[in-house]
Amino acid sequence: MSDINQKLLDTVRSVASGSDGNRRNIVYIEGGYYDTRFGPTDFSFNTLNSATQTANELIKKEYNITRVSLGVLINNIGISCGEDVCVIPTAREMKPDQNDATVPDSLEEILKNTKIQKSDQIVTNERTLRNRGIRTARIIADNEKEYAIEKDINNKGETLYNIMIDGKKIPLAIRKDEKWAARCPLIMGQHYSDLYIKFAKKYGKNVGQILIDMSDMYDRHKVNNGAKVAFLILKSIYGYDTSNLKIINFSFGDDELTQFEEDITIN
Amino acid sequence: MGKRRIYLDNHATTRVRDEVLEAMLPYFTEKYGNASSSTHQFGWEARNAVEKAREYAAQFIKTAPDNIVFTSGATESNNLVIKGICDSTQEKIHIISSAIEHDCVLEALNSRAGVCEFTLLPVNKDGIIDIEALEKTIEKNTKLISIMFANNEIGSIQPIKEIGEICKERNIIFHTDAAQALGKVDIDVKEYGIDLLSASAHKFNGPKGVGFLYVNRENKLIQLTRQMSGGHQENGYRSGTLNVPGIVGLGEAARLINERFSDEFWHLFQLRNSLYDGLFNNNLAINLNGPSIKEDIANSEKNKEKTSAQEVSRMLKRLPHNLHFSLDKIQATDLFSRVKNIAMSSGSACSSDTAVKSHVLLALGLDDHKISSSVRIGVGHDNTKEDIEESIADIVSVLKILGVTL
Repeated sequence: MSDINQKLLDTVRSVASGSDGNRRNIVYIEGGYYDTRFGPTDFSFNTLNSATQTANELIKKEYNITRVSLGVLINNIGISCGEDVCVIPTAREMKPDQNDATVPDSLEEILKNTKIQKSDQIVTNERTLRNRGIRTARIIADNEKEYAIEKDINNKGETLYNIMIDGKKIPLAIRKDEKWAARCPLIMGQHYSDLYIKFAKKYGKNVGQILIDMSDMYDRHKVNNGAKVAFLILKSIYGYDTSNLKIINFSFGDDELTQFEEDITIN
Repeated sequence: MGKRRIYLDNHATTRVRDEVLEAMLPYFTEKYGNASSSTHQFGWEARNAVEKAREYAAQFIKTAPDNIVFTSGATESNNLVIKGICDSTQEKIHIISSAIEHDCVLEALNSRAGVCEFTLLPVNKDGIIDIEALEKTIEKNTKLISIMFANNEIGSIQPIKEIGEICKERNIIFHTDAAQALGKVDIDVKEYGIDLLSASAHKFNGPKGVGFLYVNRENKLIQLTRQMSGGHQENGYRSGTLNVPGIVGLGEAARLINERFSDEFWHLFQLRNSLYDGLFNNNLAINLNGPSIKEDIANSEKNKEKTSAQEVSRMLKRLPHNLHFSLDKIQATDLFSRVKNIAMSSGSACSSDTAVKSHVLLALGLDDHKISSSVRIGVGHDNTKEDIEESIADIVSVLKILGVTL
């Protein structure tokens, strides 16, 4: 077993054993991230392979995990943005098939060979998350007094909406007149909170949720900020307790998944 | 097993050379005296080592050793100059600097905005200030002109000698941040009319956390109010126990370049030029930012036979180890995430906590896409021809796959 797979198992074991003894736990592992402009990379294949192998192991009784799900996130909006530089390709620059949110055969093949049922495989695309994120941003902006919002104006006259969480300024959205664009932390926050709500509805509010995401080191701050935003969305907008949620982000410095950092975000 | 790592981010920092590390080690373990201790051998040997390093640092910029003040690096030196001059007078003084200075200069200026006025000169599309504009900006109370020797992103080299001449004519103190230029370009502070010069050892294969400030003691206009109170080291300019191992490392790194400037210069220049040719002759949709490399190559070819490396380095418009370009169609992170074994950097801080867009690239007038797709490469002493060939092959192949072609 590779080091990263062992690390994933150890992390789940430690997190699951640390939670309320009577609580059942479900685990979601995401890998295979790719940009539809360029298709899957070695990093996509290696993270999805690692996710599926770990999931296959976790369904064994000894781990005492109630349910294991797998996920793939597809970047079909073409953003690989900086903190204040979100250059989104115009419709003209995106070929029609680049909007496609179906998993390509090469990744589908990996998913087919797992022991995780198709119904427990979740494919999400960033275009949907972005649109949902914009709705969330508007809710937050409409109730500005309830949130620690900080606004900046950039050189194009656009308003940058940021939210202060634990003394950190996290970018949420950009607004020009009535046009909104969701920033990366909001897209990821929307993603994690959507997953939480989906599992809470399916398995109950009290089941422990361990969401594991595997990302590139370049995206480390974005996904970790996204995890913080998810807790905010769940608590402030949807009223969830979230003490049963742990979001674990692995960020990799190489395609072979040998160099990585682990961040755990909790309530 | 992944691909071998290639470090091409030598503007950020450089590897400490083996000879430098070897020179430093005894000052951690056996010769660990405080250079200010004057009553025993431990102190004397530390003091001797510091003074030797001071000589090497002085030779680096062709000045006398007692003009060298050791600091923690160029950031501290720049702060000492800007704040030290502003704090030394009750009068409202005027300072001229440029829009593409390092943040430490700009922030130091902002910190004294209430007590001194400052003007930031714009730069042209190559990142170079206009001398006429500089002259027009000078006011009666202009006390200091602080212009960086060479830019840390696009490598543009400023007309330092001309600025020095203007300063001498107008009795203005001239400071330059030479963190990126020192060791790459031959610098003679007297000939260039420089009064104050900031440097960091880690930019020329020395250790991190040590640098120096050159202070022209002949210029009596210079009054620097100390920014740290305490032990009166470095003639009162910089209190605090001297970082003896670091200073020894700085001295050794300077000595090595002093001795082999020509080899070092041509090594960097040729590697950078090969990289430039390899990337720009491959039908890629990429655009050079900063001064023309072709012109520097043509000038060097014209003068190579009759002049030394030192003289060729003085003719350059761009640092010999710098390459900076923007990619069409994609962003820099799209490239970086596919060639993780090659260390490069970008003008947009993609993973930082704060919102950062390079003020240097903004000053050049680059749009958002050109900034977010910008790639900075700095070749270094340890790079080899093979590193460059492998980097060209990998980068070109990835860019072609990503469709960054003409």
